[in-house]
Amino acid sequence: MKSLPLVVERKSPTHRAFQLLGVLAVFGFYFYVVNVVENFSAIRWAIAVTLSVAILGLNIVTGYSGQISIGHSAFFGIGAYTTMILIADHGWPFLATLPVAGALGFIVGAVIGIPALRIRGLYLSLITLGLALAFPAIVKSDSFFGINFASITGGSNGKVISSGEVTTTRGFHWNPPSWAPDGWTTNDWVFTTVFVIAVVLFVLTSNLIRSSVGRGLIAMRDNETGAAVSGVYPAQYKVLAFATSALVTSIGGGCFALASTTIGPDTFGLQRSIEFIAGLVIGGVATILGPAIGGVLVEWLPYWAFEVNWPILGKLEGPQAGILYGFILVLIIFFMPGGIVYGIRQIRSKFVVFVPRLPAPQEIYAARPADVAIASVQQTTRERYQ
Amino acid sequence: MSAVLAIPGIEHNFFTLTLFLQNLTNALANGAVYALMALTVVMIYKTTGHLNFAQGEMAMFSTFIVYVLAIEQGLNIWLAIVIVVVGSMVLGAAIERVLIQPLESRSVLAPVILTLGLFFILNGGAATIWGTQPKTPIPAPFPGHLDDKVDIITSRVPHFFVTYKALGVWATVIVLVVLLNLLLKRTKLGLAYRAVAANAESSLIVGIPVKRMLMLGWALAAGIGAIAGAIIAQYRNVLDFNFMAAVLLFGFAAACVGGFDSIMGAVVGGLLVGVVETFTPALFTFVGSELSLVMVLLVILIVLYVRPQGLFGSKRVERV
Repeated sequence: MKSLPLVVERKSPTHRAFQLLGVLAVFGFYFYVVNVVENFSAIRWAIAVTLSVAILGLNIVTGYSGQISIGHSAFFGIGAYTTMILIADHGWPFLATLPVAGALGFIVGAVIGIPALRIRGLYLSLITLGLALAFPAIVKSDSFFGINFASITGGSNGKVISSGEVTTTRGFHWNPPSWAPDGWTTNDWVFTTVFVIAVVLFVLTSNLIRSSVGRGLIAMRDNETGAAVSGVYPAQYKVLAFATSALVTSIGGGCFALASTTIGPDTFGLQRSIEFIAGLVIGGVATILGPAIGGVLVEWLPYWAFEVNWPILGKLEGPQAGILYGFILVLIIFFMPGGIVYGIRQIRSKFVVFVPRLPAPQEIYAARPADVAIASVQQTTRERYQ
Repeated sequence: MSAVLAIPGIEHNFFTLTLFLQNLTNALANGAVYALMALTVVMIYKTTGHLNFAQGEMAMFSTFIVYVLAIEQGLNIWLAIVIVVVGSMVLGAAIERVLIQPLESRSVLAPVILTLGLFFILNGGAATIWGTQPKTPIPAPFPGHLDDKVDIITSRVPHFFVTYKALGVWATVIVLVVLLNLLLKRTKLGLAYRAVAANAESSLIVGIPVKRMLMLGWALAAGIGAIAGAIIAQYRNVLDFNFMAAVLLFGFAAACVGGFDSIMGAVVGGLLVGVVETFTPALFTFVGSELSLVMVLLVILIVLYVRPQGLFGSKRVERV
């Protein structure tokens, strides 16, 4: 006999227990990276987390407001360069650079978003494609309307974190603090920092999406004209969403600078943008968990793919990672449109189903025929799920 | 020679007659190249409303096939181009039918992501098959030696001349625009295509095969792209797996300036983008020549601020 899935009402103790399980999984991942994986890999995991944050930002605009951005590599780069320059040339502490990185990303996002998002259509994807191609050129340029960017950013040579006299393993002070457990390396500490920032940003974004702003965005994505008629101002909402998404991605970029310690202009080209989109689509568009999975895959998938000896292709190398991404994108779009998260949900729904909490039937109104009808529908729904 | 007024930030040589004319021909030849790409963008956008981000890579791939046929197999270059154009049209229609059409009912994101996936597959595929190094010799549809040019002003230094390559690019644009106009305005097929572009639902009701018209749009775009690729490779003197990525952006910009649904707009937009791209670094000393991408980005931004539907584009009105 086919067994029916377990039905759990949202916000019930059982649902809370499931949520606790999720939180424990996050902690489990953290302790796994800090304590189990080897020291060198901890940095790759830290980079994976920063990519997750970048994709989280992209998700706000692509997942929830339905606009494609191909320029998030540039925001990632703006954040990374801001943090890098402030630490290396001005001796700022790392955490103080993040608000600046975020603010810069927000401003650039608004300037780009205002013309592109006033009108419907694919204009944002067009402009952001230009942004992705132009960003490395601007960073390398020595006469950008009279500004010598190359002297600030290090031009094609890129930039390395190194602050004055301080010479530690990471070029500046980001060693484990005195209260850290014994045996923590700098890499563990970097991972911890990046991880905590990421968790905070994921929680904030999740809350933003569940707020009235988030609902407005989703309404607009699904039917723009309808949403506008209901009082959601498309241009305002879209520009705000895009700028916020740029802010989140910029902060991810700042963390990336800390984790990777060296950056160059071509780290932030079109390829990076498409990696973000691939990560988002593979992980799960318009989900909170999707970007987390996507970031990890974008960092590790090429690495894993290059290890394998493929049947026809043999060992993959260099540009062939692109073919891999391309095929995965096409396959996901056709066979798993929601990405991995939806796949997981499909499997989960065979065992557990979460339903919204139904309001208790109210006896006081039961005299009115309509209420009686509603109460009976509610009763049927309950029975069906139990 | 008269005394030249020195204005800070302005390159005064810019106004020397022959130099100015030389810049102008370069600008218009570059612009014609962008117009070719803009035409491909317009052909797809008119009926489907999509931007095909793999357009440049499709053209790049076609150009490599032209290279194989013309250089490696020794075919006549124009015969090779004709074969590749036909092949590209079939493949373009097939891609639309097999990959894009099933996604029509889904969100606008799905086709965009699909074309980005195609971008990567074609880009990586070309790099795998033909290597990452630029190919030589580049197939030359037009005579491309240093002395293959028409001298116009030789009495002054520098001389003013027009290369056969530039003449070839202009001729191609003109021929293509004339042919497209004949196809769209004078044939029943073109009428059906325009009907679908104007209103797909009503076209379906009067019995026009809408899906085939969408395939036609892709086929035309792929065919024009194949011609454009071969000509751009010779004109820019480079053939590698990345040579179309930036050109496609210029093509998008040109289509954006001209209006995404206008053939005339694509040509005028292309020429305008070419002029901006060439003139700004030549005129202003404080703009580096490596910033042409940035200039084009600015052009798109300004157009979207001032006239979002483009110079020749039609405005869309929507009812609930």
